Amino acid sequence: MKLQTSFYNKAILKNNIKRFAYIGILYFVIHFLVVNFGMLMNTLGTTHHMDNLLYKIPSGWDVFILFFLPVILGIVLFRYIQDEKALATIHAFPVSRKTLFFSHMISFVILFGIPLAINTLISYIILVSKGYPALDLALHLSIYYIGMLLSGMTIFYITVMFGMLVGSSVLQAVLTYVMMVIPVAIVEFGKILIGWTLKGFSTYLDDEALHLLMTPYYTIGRMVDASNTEFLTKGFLVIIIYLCFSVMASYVLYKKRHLEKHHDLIAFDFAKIGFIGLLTVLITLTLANMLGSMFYENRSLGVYVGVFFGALIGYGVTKMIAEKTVRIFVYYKSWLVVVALFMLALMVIDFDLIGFESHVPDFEDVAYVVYGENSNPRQGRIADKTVLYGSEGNFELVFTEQPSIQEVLNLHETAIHAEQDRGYNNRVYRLDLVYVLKNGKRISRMYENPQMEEGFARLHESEGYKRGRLKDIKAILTHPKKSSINIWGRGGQERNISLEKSGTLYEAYRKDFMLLSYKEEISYDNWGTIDIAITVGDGTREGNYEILNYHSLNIWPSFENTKAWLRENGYEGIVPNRKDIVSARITPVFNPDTEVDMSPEYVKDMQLQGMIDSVGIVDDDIIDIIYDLTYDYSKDPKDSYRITLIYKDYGEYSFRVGELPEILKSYVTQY
Amino acid sequence: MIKTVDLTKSYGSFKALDQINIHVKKGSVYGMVGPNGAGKTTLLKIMTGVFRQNQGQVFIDGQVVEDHISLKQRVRFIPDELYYFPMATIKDMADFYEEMFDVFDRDRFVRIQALLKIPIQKKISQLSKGMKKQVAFWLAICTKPDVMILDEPVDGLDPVMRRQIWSLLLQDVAERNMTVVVSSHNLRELEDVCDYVGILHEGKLLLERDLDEMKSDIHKIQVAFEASEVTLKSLNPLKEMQVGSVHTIIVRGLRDEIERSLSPMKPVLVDFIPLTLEEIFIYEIGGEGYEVTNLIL
Repeated sequence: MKLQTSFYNKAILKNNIKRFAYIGILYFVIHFLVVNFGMLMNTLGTTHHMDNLLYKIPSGWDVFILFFLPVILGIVLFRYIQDEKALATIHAFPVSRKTLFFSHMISFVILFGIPLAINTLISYIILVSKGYPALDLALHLSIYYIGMLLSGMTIFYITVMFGMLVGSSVLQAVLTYVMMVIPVAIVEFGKILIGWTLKGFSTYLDDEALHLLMTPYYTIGRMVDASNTEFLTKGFLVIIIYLCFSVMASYVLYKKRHLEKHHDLIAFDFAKIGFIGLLTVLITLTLANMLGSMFYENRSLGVYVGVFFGALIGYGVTKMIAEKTVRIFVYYKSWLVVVALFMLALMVIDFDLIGFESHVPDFEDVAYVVYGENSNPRQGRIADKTVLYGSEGNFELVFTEQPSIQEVLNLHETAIHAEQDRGYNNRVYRLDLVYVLKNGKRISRMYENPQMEEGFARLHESEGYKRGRLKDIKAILTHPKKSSINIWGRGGQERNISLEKSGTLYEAYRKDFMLLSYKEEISYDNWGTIDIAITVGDGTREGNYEILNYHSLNIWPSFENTKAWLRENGYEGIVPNRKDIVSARITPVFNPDTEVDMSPEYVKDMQLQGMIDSVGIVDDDIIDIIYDLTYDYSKDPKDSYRITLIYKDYGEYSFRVGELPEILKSYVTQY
Repeated sequence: MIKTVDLTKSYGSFKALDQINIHVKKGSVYGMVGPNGAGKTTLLKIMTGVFRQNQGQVFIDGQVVEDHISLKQRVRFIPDELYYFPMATIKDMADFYEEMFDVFDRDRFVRIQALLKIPIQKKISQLSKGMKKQVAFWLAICTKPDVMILDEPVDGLDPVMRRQIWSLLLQDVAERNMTVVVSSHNLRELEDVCDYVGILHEGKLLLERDLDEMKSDIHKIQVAFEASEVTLKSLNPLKEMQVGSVHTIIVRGLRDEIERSLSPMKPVLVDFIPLTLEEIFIYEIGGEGYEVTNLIL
């Protein structure tokens, strides 16, 4: 008696391997070219750095190249389900559906796993022989192998699952690939739309968690970084959950499928609803996003129009496909209901019937608030209280004191009703808040460009804000691993300052920052910049280069203590010094994006060609007037002028002004 | 051996099979006949566990077929449209069958090869339709099944090959008491091999009988009378035609009883002509509204 009731059937298994071995061989070659080849090329270099090597492992969307085999095998191994002749023969064999199902699974593991294993092993042997650490490499490559195998199996079963749902292998392949994108696409499009509709909705979701949850197979590249154990564990956990779901779903569907439905485009009625529903949502969101972007001046109208036509077209088209008919007007009732439901959902959000916008947490419930003006918003976790979130224009503050929390709550209340200005004329254009409540819950709100200067000024001039910002600034300026501090100012010079002096520099900066007004803080009137480079990690060099993190602190014009510190410490050249200026130049700015490079070399070149008619302004009285001009970046740059001061050591300093006194207009360099 | 109980199968709102009850005796050849779309293929696919019924059950030796692996080891199905693995040779398929089934008689495989004269290294996809059919029988017979279910089995075979295939099958019926259920449109051929016949029409089983019994129960009679005005209504003929003084009628019933009924009418000629299975089929389903009026008696 043969293994009739066993988990797998030997005849089916052998037959599968024999028939599809060529796909496995092809996969071996492609994997070698995509992954291993790059890794082996690394051995040609003089240094053998593990991070460089692991970088060769595809992550993100390019992982799809490596996952063509699970999709193909998911289609061909179960192809007979969609073929009347084949299914009548195969299902008449003495093999149960369960045995067939698991025989195909084992076939897949062999056809996918063996080429992958051989490839990985070849790379391991060569790389170890070239001097890579054997143990480290074994760990990384094992994670890669297991991650790829589990992800491959997941994709294989997602493909099989769609094969069970539909009666066409083309549709099966399309749905498989679409499914890999759809969840993220729906969330991404959805959050943008809600962000356009609800002022306080933060569109900056935790992207890492989002992708990990919805498309875990893209994360292999991140997972091989074994030091990130938290991500590694989460990654495996999510992939295993996906795998279990896809195996169970495809198995149950196989058991339930009526084989006579081989010719049906969609074999289960519930799948038809899912197909229509998912695609209608996707089409609606896509169209609403497109129209919302086009109707820049009136996004709300764009979203309404987009949702209406998106639902109309989306439902119509998907219904047409699912029912295999062009006579879709017979479904006019359900069509109307679908469009009405989408419009209703939009109105519920837009009119805030769910109370999202109007909800401000009670003061007593708030444990602390994170307030940020962050161009790269936080990814999920609340920032640690001590380290470097960046610089001016990119910071996060944790408010734990009651007056500051109350101030933030007031600001939030104001923001709900504040106008949103579409222009970007000041530095603070976003109110980004995360409340962490005493019960552990979080509430996130983000208002872009709320017009409420008074509220912002109160918070930004409060002691809590100043101390919070200074904690960050101090951490940067006095960091034990700082590599360099470079200061650049209106004096035209740029200097590296002694690292030992950072403590006293901070003291001077702190005094100035405590007195900084909100109005000055948000203005573009920049006096100078302190750039700090900090060594990353343990200082491991990448070839001859040190890996550094850069931070930038603004020096505002009112920072007299800082300027005095620069003079006292021998960095006079950074501070403006009228007597050292030998000439000046005024050039019009027609279009800031294409503003002509006015470097001395360029000017000299233009003069030689006769394109510029002046060598510069040398009249001391005129230079005095130019020297006293107010810096102004807030005006429309199209009508502004660029002032360039040229020092006797040929150093240059340039800034922009909005308006010129009448007397200076004749000195504008024409080009 | 094989029994279906109230077997019903629907495709959406269309009832392909409607409460079918058939009984196939062990060692018999059961012919399943019916017009196109009667539900024959659906019935055979349910019997072999390929399709699932909506109601009722199929039993082979008292056991439910679907996913019953040891039972399916003893049942072989040859569908009307054959499928072989792409690029497979006959040898590949034989190896596959040997692995798949408990029994695969290699000696018999070699003996039949000598008879069919098809090289086993040849790719099946390169064979003609008839040869593919031969390969299907060849492989199936070598697994020595207890039940052979055939859907349009000899369609595409030449007459000599048909005879050879049938003789192989009937040999197994005789020697191993194999049971055969066969659907075919070739009623002439079924007539030669079947012990029992079931007629399906529009998803319903019109009748199921021993073929000899069936033949003895329906008659084609040519009868002539001296009198010009004679009515045969009392015989309840299924069909009646008159050419001159000769009446041709199709009547159900025993021959003796029909003769007794005719005798008072004093016929000058009574001739009982044997009916073929094809004619029986036509008259039976003709009663169910199937268009047969233009057929010549």
